[in-house]
Amino acid sequence: MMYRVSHDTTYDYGQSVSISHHMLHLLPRAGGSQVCHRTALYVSPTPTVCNNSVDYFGNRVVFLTVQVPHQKLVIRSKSVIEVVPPATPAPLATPPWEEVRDGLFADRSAHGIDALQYRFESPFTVAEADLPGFAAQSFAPGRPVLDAALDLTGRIFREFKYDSTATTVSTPVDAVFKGRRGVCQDFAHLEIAALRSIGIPARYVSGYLLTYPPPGQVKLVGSDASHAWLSIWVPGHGWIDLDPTNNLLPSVEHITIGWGRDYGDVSPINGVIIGGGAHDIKVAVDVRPVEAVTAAQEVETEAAIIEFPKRGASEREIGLI
Amino acid sequence: MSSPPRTTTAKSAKRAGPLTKGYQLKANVYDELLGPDRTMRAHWRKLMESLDRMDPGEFGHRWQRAETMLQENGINFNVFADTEQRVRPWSLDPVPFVISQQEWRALEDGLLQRVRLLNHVLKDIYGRQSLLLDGSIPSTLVVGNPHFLRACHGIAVPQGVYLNFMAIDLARAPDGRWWVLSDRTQAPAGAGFALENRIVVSGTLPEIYRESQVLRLAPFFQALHRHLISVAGRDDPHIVLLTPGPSRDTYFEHSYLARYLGFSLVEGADLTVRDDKVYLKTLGGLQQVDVILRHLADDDCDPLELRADSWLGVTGLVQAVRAGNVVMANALGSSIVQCEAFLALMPALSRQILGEELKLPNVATWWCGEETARDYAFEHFDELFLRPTFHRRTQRKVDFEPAVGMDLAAERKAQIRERMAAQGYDYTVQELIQASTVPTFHEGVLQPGPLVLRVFVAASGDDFVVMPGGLARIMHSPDTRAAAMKRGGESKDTWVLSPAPVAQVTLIGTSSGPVQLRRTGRDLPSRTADNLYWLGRYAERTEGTLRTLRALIKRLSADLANTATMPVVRRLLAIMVEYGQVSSPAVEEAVAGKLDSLEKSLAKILYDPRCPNGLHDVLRNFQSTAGLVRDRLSVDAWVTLNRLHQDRALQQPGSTTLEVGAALNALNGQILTLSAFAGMEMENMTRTYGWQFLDMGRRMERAQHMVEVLKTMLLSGAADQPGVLELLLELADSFMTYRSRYLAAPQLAPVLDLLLADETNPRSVGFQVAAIERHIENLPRDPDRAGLTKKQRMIRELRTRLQVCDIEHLATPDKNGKLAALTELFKRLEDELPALSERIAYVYFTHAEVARPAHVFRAGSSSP
Repeated sequence: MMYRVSHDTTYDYGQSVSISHHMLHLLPRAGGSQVCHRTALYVSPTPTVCNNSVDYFGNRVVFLTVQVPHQKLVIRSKSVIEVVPPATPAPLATPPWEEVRDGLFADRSAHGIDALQYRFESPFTVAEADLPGFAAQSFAPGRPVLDAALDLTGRIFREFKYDSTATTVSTPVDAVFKGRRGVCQDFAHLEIAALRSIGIPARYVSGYLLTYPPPGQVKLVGSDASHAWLSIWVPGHGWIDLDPTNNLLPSVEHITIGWGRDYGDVSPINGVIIGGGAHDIKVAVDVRPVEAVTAAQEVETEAAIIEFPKRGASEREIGLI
Repeated sequence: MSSPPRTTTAKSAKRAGPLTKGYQLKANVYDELLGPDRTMRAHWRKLMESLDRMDPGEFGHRWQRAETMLQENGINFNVFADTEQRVRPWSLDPVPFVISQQEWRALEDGLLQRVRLLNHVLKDIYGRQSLLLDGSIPSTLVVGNPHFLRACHGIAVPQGVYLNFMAIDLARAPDGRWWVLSDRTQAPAGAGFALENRIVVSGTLPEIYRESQVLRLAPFFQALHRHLISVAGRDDPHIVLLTPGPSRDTYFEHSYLARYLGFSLVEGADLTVRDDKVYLKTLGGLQQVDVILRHLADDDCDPLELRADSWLGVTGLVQAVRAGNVVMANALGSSIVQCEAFLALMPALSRQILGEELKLPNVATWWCGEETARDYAFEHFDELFLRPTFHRRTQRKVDFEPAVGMDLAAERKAQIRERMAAQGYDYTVQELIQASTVPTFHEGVLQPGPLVLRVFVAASGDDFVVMPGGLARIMHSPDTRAAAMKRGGESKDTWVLSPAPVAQVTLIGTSSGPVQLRRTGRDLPSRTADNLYWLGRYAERTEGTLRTLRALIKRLSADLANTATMPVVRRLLAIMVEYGQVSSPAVEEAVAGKLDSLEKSLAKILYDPRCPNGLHDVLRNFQSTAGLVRDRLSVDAWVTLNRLHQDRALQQPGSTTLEVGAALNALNGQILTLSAFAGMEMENMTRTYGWQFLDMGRRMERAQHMVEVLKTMLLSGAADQPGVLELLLELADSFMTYRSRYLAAPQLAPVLDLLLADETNPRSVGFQVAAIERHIENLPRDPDRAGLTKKQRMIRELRTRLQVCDIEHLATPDKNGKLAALTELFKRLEDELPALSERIAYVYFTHAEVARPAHVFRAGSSSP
């Protein structure tokens, strides 16, 4: 599937902001079952400093500093992404979960060391609640890891209610577990914390989900939202995505921006401002399936401050990103 | 805290025999002073003989002086967070810890090897990670370590030096060998105290110090200084020392070191990042910073990329470091190797990386992430020292304070064992060492105390150097469990003896090449300007309070039934009501002739530390504001402040009666000490922007106070009542001036002229306003701006108003007998002075605006 994704964020400040620093995880990473045909970033007012690099997890990260006094800041990303169905093993054919847990510390391959970091508590997954007990209901002795994880995913889907008023970005896992309510980010953190509590590496994935308008209606521009799910480490297979909010194995309708230990590592926009008074933030996300497009076909009316591939790059180069 | 040997201060008391008489050796413990057969170790002889020769009385006297010096210099180490005990003196034992140069050389050799090794490990962790890939370092200790800063991975570090300045704690085991207890690679405390200890001890025992040929500490700090300049990569770099601020227990040390090394002491809020460069926000504008000597935990350094909930750092700092525009010392992320589990790896890492055996052994350590280590821990659970492997910021139920297995309650023990079985990697266990003992002075005799030695290492050239000396600490427990710095206690100077005479060195004039002459001092941080302004205000507020109290108490001794005194007392009380020091009912009672409750109130104001707006309160504000700019005050100024604050004449909590004579004495003493502070401010401070703000604060407060006093005295009743004008002159310390000018009884118009308009009288409102105007003219302003600024207009209006006012007219009552014109003038001044003060704050101090998080939008939701 090919998508055109746009993600607009608008800050309105009550008073002038003299300087603002932002760290963005808005440009989707490529690789695996995802090809990034084009991705670009637009910012107004034009930032004085704009650095793009790759973070420790391999995600694209952009740092902005806006040094002119501003009362409004608009950050927009536009991408053309192609997603192919991932190769997912049969759940019952995956190794027993204890094997995953026990084999991890001895695995000294680069992949193993990378996976190990997702085994430990991170700031957004700290919990005192009995998560090992919660996980154990799905993780019976000897049960294949993906089979057990799917069971856990289903239980979170059934036992927890989607409620965007129940939590905020800083609601701890314990409160979500107790209140049994939250949004995708909360469910992802909860399942990650539960998996890690029994020794299974799990990482947080930030991205988008294709949504459908109610039957008979036209999909509204900007009606989508960013989405979050998780991924577990299955030795021999690699990372397998799970979506507890929708109780499914993500396939071609999930578009990945990046991943990390939790939301804190990959929040789409993290900013610090000086001045500004009271402020308001608006976000509009649009995910639209499209026919095959190439970068050259994208017509832009404004100048991107960052884009991949660069304008005029050859087809071959485009294929490499 | 060590008590000065008061028992021996009697001049006649000759010590019966040598100091070591009665010095009890502990079984199975190495003693630094005496061998097992009680023969004194050779390197101690010279010191002990000299001490033995010294008259105990003389020694006691000297030591008492040293302790006063420590107290007054404000050496403190705030172990307790509560306000009553906030400033706890760091005690110093008079007898230095002595070590021979021969032994020191061996120790130094081992320390240098260790720091090279740690630096190499850091380079690998934040670079290729080959030590993880080959299994030399269990990956858990890196990727599972909360101190592993992912944002800093891959950042190039100048000259490959991660560790610019670190400390290592050592203890000597019964077999006489030194063992490493821990590596402090974050931002170790103690070097400033070691330096201060040296200055005090060498000043107390100057002859012995000279004769003993003690290696100097200054060359070590010179080396650090040179190194920091060299990593900056340009001539005359701007180096700052970053502190978390005065609320931290090590702040004194930060300001002490900053001053000693000649670096600006800054907090995160003083810095800003623009164009990927770090700048210090000063009155003169932004000044680029090249090197940051960091005394702030690394994860606190940048809310954007590191800990998002910490606001002690500088937003964008990591970017600036990544861009190579600023050097952090130590490098961000260095704290990862101070995790005790690394001790278990050091011997093997040394062989692998350096191809050498570890010269200085670690205390035996087992990281329970390894199965064999965990088995050992289970087997020897009771005798081992248990620690959480990682120092997490958020405490949870499963967390625990480091403890020895046998000291744990059975239930706790079972809980930890169970968790250890499931998550061994969270636990590290260590052997305890029976630390060597060193002589400490107690009640006039020497007693053995368990010793932990903190030594310091700095980068220098392409290698490292060790400070010849260190902070020797006496612990509360005989073994090494109490080695954590926070436990407080006693410290000692450490003397490394040289076989040859040592050269004198000081840090001043260490710079290579000619120094560019400077006079401006434009680099005053805006926040410091703000604090200095308030210091000036509080100094003046203290004086106003003291003078009012003195005037009042003086009159209480007079016959109050005397109708001539009462109206004056009443007006004085009105001022105190205005400042919230006495209540109106107490005033009514006093006026009615019932003085009990007034006396009680006054006693409270003078003596009760908890009395709101009382003298202690005012002094506390003064003192704590001074603490915020301690690095800007001279030692003498600070000593003067401490005298005010610690004045024994005012330390009578619970006192409810007022003894007039004693109270007046105390107040007179305070007023004199305070004028000593003001004198130092006038005579000893260079006329930098800092001084201008201090003086401007003082002028502003005095102007406002004088307006208040004039208004209350002249308008709350007939101005010509006997005694009122005299009192005004007394409060304004202008009696002599008046007398010499008029040689007549005070009259309203000349008094008004002297206290309101006369710009030559340092107590008049006019003088203050003129001074403020001069300051405003001299402070930096936007050179491109034409015309007057708003604050310039405000101050000129004020000054003109006072200059043109018709004193005769102001002093003449209208047909209703009211001083209407004067009333109107005071009203305007009461509005305009605070407005001007606000404007000054707005223009100069809002630079100190703080950073805060922008709202975030979470995934999967249409609301933040």
